[in-house]
Amino acid sequence: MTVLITRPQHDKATHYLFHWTGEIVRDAARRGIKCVDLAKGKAKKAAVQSYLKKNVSEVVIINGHGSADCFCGHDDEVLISIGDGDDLLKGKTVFVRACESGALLGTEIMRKGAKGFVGYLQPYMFPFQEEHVHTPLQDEYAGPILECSNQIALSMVKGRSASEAHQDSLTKYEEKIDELLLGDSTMTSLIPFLQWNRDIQIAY
Amino acid sequence: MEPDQKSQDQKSEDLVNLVVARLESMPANISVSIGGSDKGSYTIKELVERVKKQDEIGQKMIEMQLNYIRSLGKSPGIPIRA
Repeated sequence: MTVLITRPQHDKATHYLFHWTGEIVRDAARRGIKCVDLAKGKAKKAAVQSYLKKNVSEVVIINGHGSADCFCGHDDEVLISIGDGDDLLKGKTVFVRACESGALLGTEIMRKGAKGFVGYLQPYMFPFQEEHVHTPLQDEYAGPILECSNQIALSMVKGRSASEAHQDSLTKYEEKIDELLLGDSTMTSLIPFLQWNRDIQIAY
Repeated sequence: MEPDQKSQDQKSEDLVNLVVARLESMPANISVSIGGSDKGSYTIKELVERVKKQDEIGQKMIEMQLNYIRSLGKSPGIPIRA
């Protein structure tokens, strides 16, 4: 299996996604799975669409900003939008960690033959600790939320289908919410964010 | 003002106050990344302002906190052993 990953890094949100997606890249490497890692300035439309045309990967994991009809790469360049490259995901299992990607684009990607899709119906939100902007993997507030969405990609890398990966992620959300509810955590203010991202996550 | 309208306005104000109180209970060092928004990330103070203005970001915060509060009523709870 080969995995295609985009992880731009040009603002705080993509900075966090960049570092947390590094966990997925490392996991794929540990499993001996080939990974085309389009990081930072490599996450551009020409490169992404070129790799997709060459059909090098079965799993595609996208990180960045987006809207109901497109998702973006480095410096918010549109990578794929409805009618421009959405057919290139035919036969692939796709996870788009970008706002509202599941609203219109996700259904269109599926209509054009994708094997499966996981995305979001509304804006994806996460709190973060300002003092951890330079060490995002140690951020106790962003961590649980990004771990739950990372689970989708980690499951796909293991060969799980989009709906199975979605379910694995929902289970992870429940674990995190229970930990906060039942533990002596002072971070219960995270729970509304976990519930929000869980409830707006959709699989086709 | 009609009594019903006054009651609605009071409810809306109560809701805003509740969401503001919940946001203000978060540590001051926390910011929130909100994808697809004009600014990208917001301090708690900025979010409180947005909630008071009830703009698009403020409405999302209200919706999120309201979903959480409603979910507390639906929680199956922890069984009590006799």
